[in-house]
Amino acid sequence: MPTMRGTDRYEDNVFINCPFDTQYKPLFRSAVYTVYDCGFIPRCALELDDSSQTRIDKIEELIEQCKYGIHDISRTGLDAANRLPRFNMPFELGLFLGAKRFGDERQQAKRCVILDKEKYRYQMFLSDISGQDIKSHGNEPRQLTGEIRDWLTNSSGRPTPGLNEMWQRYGRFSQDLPLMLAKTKVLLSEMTFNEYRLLIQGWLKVNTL
Amino acid sequence: MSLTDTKSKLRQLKTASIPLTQRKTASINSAIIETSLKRIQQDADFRSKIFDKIRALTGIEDVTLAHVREYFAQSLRTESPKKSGTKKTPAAKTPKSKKSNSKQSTRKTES
Repeated sequence: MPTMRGTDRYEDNVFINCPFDTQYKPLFRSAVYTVYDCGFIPRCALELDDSSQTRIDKIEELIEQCKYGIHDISRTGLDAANRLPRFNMPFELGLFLGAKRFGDERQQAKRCVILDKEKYRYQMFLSDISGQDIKSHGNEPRQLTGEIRDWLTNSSGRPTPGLNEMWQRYGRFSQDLPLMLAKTKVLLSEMTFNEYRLLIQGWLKVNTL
Repeated sequence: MSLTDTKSKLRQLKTASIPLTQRKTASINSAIIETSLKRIQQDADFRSKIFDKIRALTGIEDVTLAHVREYFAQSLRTESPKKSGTKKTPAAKTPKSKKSNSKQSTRKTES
């Protein structure tokens, strides 16, 4: 199992560029779990807490450290509160593709998967990426798990567990999660990304047979 | 101050001197072990697989929950190989890996 932070594990690091809102959480949690169960390290902006760096610096550093990227552009619609479009995810996708295009040899080896809730919807708002193979998750965690698992297997050439086995294991992990949180006296609503990573990492060490 | 009080105070001081991240990791590892032991008691298939694995690793025929607890604790101390797939290596005693002291970002809405 890879170490939690993984700053020096470029080949194992997977940048997750996705929304962090409550409605997206079931998808986010399954994505983070899947990356770990496939033997990689999930990285995202939620792990960063350094006031000496600007936000864009942190994200650029994160992207630089990750060979792989999962970009979910399914929530690029209007924000419910201010009725303005959400640009962060397409912007970070652009940064990732820019690093791959203009970076050094290591950066050019980057691989990514772009996900939306429907397969061809992106053509209406991000036509510049037309021609790329966009995957859809249909807002379903299991479908998202399958897409991530298949993409990681194909793009890395590494063996990963089958979808059915992984999904069953995720079901057991999800059952155990509230119990583990109760023992650590942390509520599900206050669980941080780093706590979630530690729990997945440890749980998989003990429960993967 | 009685001997018991002194011991208690020393224990508190010792705990307080452990960095928060290490205490957090220890607390999470303990929660994982306890929850998994509970699963062992409830899930016969899981129990059978874990017991078989410990038998194969140690040669102990009469595996008990104490062995399982020790196996879990060792597994949590072990760093698995870099390119892990479906198979995990058996637990072996290795130094504890360093954990980060990062905290969650304040960002709430989106990436």
